[in-house]
Amino acid sequence: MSEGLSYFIPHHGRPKISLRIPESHSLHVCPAACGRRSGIRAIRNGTKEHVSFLYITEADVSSGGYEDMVGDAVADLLELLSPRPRAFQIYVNCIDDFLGTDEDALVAGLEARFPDTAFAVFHIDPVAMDGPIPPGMRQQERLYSFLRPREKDGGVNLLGTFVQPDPASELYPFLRACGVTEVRSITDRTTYEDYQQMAASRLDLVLMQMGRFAAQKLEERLGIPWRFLPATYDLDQIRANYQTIADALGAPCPPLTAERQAAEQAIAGALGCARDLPVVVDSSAAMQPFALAAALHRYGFQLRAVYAAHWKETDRADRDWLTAQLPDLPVLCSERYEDITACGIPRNCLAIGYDSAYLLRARHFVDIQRDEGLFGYHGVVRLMERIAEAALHTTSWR
Amino acid sequence: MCSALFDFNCLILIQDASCCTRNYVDYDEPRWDRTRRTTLCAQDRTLDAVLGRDDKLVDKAVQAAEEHHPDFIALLGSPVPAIIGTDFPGIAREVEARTGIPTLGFSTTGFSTYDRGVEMALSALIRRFTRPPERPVPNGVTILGLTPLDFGAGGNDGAIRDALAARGFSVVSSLAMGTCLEQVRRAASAQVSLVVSRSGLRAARELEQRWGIPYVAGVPIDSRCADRVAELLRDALRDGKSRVLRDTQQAPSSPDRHPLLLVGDQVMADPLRAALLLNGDPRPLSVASFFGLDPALTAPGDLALEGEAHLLRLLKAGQFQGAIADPLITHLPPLQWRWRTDLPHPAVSSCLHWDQVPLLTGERMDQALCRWAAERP
Repeated sequence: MSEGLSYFIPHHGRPKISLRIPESHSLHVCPAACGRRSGIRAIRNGTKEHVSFLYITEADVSSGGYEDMVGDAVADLLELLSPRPRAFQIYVNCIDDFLGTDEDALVAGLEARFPDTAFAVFHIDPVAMDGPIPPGMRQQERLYSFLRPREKDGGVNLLGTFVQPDPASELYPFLRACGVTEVRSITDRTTYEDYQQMAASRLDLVLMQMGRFAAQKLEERLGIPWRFLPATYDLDQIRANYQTIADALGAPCPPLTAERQAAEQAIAGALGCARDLPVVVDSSAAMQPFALAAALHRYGFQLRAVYAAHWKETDRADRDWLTAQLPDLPVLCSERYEDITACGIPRNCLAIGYDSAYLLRARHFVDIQRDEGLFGYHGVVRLMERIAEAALHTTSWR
Repeated sequence: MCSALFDFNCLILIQDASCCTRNYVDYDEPRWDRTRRTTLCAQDRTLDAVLGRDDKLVDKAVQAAEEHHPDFIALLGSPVPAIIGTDFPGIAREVEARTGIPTLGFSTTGFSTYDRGVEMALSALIRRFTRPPERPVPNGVTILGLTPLDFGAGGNDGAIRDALAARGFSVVSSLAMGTCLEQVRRAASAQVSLVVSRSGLRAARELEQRWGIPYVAGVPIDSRCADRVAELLRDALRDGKSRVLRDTQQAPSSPDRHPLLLVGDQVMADPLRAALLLNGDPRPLSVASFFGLDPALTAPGDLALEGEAHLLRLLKAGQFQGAIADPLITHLPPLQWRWRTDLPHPAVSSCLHWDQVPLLTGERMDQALCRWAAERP
């Protein structure tokens, strides 16, 4: 495939989560084609009652009148919706970047017209991927822009992820042992008041790159310090991450010896099942695919390739380490799907991530997506369980 | 548009940032598969749009064409190119000059509905590739408007072709499912066109204007209706006049006899109305469509829906006994206590129900129509 063109792997039926603020309503202001997938996704996710669409026409764009239409649409929705939303997430798309919409004036106008309702404009604009802050990071920042200053308490926020660490993770007892009274994330907030309580937290733990800009802004606005702790599958790094959290909280770091031993046992068990299978790691499974691949190589898995269509500089050190250790390892960092289908990887491999599994029609598919739910030693245990399960079963591709 | 071009060895480049291509691949193409590489995203970015870097799209198209060896190339727009006025036909001419490969430029905008894109594609294919008829194929038929967005990908295309073959017709072209470029080239060798969705009407009229090929608008839904379609095709072959499959004997609605609402593509809905009549149900039925109505096919009481709010107002007003429609419509609250039957329309409900599109021909549909006719209030 030529440079600058993307082939899209179909995600038919695969879940895609949209984050929302409790008691809020999302209004998408866009051409019909842009809103289609948001609508279908809302139906799939069971959130259709919280999403509306204001489809604009070329005439609306030409006349510039669509900003006025937003206020009228909000008025209609406030009359119709029960319970009445406390906040509106107003989504605009790529074209808005070229129309010169005065976003501040739009929000100020809405707040003046509907004084008991909060508003923020969110941009779904992949066209701005070449800008200084990626669209996904800006959207995360907007999600927390409704928070207003509060007196600090013993809470900690988890930011950046779409799915929080598994409730069985040692992270939660660890935080309690460090004196944390409540762990908060936007996914577990049930009311707008609950959500506002996130402003009282004393620390933000950013578990995915996408939350970094939000954390920076929260630090500036609300004085909440933050630490960036992306998912890792390296046991020493996990230990270091827990030390970082404990230091930030000013508490001694619990040793977590039993948890580490459980992870080591899980690694040995998975290795027993998958020792002979060539392993492919791809960036749809892990936000830092090279870090995951490096950890697997150290544990003794037969690493065969890394397919990193998307990767971040935060993964650079592990990429360099890996290529130094395994100079012949295919490292495929493009969206050319031929790169992976034509590099001789057998179907009888263990593909960690949907993209490589789909392209290779891999017999053994480890279905993890963007590290979702995986954190700390428990994350390693869960990953290894899934590797073992995938190694013992065959995936059928239609 | 992409869906109409899917079956061809065509390189489709969408000048978008990612969402438009993602929408098509995930939500509007049930046939998308690893072995197919028909549609690629050109990764439009702010700076390129602001600076008008059309040359980048040209370079990407040329490079991809060298790699893929397509029969033709299609360049498609999206909302951002629409508002900055990108000249896709002009860019297409440049790509064609550099590659020697036929290239079509489509100023698609993302502001219109799918039927407009299919209509543009079919019409452009015929204008560009169809050869003047040399030896007409006896009883040859060109099918127009066959897309998975109307008929799903569960075999309706084959079933429609089979229904025609079983009645003595020879399918010359099947646009745009189960097709190839050679079929487009030979389309004018057919003696009659069969239009199976509204998006095929424009192409059929162009074939009629250019080469005097008449058309019949209708879908061979169930056996009786298929026989009726065959009859109309034979009539058109005999006198060269175009026809529409539409019932004319339906009982008129009255204040105490509210019609049933049939929401869908007009060309498909009309034969369904006729099929119900042929199955002994003369009660009134109104066709409504979100995708416009062609005046030549519209019966009194049919409705061009302006949007969901318009449909809701109609349903709340209680003017309809019930509805045959996509499940997203039949599950609307005003229809909750009324008679309703699901007829999934992938252009509406996408992947949510595209696996449930029924086979419109064959015994099952015959039985379903009998049941609907009997069940109706």
